[in-house]
Amino acid sequence: MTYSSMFAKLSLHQLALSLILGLLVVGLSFSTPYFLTPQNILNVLMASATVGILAVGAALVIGAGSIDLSVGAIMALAASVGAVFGLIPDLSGIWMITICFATGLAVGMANGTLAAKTTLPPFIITLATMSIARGLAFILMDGKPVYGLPEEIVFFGQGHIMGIPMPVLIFTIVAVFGHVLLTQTAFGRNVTAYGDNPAALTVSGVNITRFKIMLYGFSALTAVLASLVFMGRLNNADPSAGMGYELTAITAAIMGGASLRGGRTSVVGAVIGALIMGVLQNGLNLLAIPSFYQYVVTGIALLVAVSLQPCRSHV
Amino acid sequence: MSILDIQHLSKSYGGAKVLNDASFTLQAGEAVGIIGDNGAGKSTLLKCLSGATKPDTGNITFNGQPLKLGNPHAIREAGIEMVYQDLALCRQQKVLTNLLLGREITTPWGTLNHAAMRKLGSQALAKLNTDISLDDVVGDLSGGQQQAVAIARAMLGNPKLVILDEPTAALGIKESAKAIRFIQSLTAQGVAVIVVSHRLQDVIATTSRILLMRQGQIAQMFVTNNLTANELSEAISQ
Repeated sequence: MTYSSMFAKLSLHQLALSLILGLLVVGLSFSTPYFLTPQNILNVLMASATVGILAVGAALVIGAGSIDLSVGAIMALAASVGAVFGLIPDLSGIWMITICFATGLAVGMANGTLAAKTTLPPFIITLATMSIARGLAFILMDGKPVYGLPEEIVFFGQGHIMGIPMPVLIFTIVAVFGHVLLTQTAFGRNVTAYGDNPAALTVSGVNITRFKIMLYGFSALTAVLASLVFMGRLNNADPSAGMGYELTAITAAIMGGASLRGGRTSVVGAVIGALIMGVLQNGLNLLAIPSFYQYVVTGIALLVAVSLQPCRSHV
Repeated sequence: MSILDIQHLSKSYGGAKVLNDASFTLQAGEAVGIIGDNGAGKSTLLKCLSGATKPDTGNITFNGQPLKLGNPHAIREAGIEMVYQDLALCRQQKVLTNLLLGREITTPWGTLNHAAMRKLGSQALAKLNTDISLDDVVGDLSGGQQQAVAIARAMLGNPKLVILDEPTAALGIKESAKAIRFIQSLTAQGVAVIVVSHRLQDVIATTSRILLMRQGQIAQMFVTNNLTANELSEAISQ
């Protein structure tokens, strides 16, 4: 396969994804009368938002030939640190939100710095930070969630702006921002260039340390936003929040056309991927299929997504 | 006027002296070839010139100014560009992306200025008189065309010196001829060129002077007029 035909196949891949999403919607509409209702569509969008926000970050990281396994744990750590500071009397919700962002960005920047300054593979670095962040979250919260959060945080999950639920609005803004970042900025060009050939970006004079800190920083930023949505929806800060979400987000990004070899990715595809995962989970719930089967379905979806990817030929 | 003046460059790795008091000069717009057997010191000399390695002793004056040795960014800023043997191209990306990698032109809002980038990219390709399109994906191009993209990218920095490491090593006869034409077009534009290659015929075709390296030193100099590859080959094996 030539490289240009691979590009054509990538567009075709996204078209096929949209078709799969459409078929799922049609199929579920006929299978259960509860699926195609305005309330349920809203439920699907709300449920897809958290993973969808993470998938935007995952699309960029995977496009750069890397991986970030720590996003689910960053969600938990940001929530936990925020909740600990939230116990301070008279500390406003805005401060708590700021602390959540600072915590998440600190982990993201640590990931980026380690990826740039050491020879450790991103898989190992983010696996380690995932474990550290999750552990710290449990230690800080003594393993228990805190209920009753400030209204500023609850607004992220339950608020509306012009009738649009905040999770859906944040998901949309993150998706548009991620798409523009990837396709319309020098940073976005660097993402796919680095995934394609790291040496090419290095000799081009791009500051690789700054690039990696920005890349993992953006991924962490999506994790904090996902965490705020998650906390707001449930009105609690839970150290077990986001457990396993990184895999669903990675699945959505790969399903959307992000190549694990790097050099190729799509935010639009990742968004469609996240919606497919959301519709699948919602459909399984409506059809009263036990939740344990959702793990099986996620695994199968990942295998199907990877096997459907346009591949590079080995010349 | 000499644009590059290398004086007494030495570099050792452990106990082995791989570059041993190497000195030579290069005139503006001149093309010089560097040849030698494996281990002669060519690669180390290139690394010193590109800033990838800092020599133990010696100095390099470029365009009348001392070069900050061991600093690739400063060396590039000074006007020295390197075309690597593997070309350092992103093969899944388009020609335009490769040409302007690290040199993207942005609007005041920080987004890519596509029109300005296309204009600059077209100008760079036009200088090499190729039929490559900015929208071609690099992996679909022939070896010679990929070499042209790498050279055009180097030229975008308006360099005064371009160093080419084994520019025809991976190319067939027809593609090598194309690459040689692209290299010749550099000197036609007044750019000094250093070609490091094992393909002696190609070095003769692209340069006016050839330096033979042996045991880390510049051992011999040849003028390429009427020079044959056999003569060079014999000199290397001596």
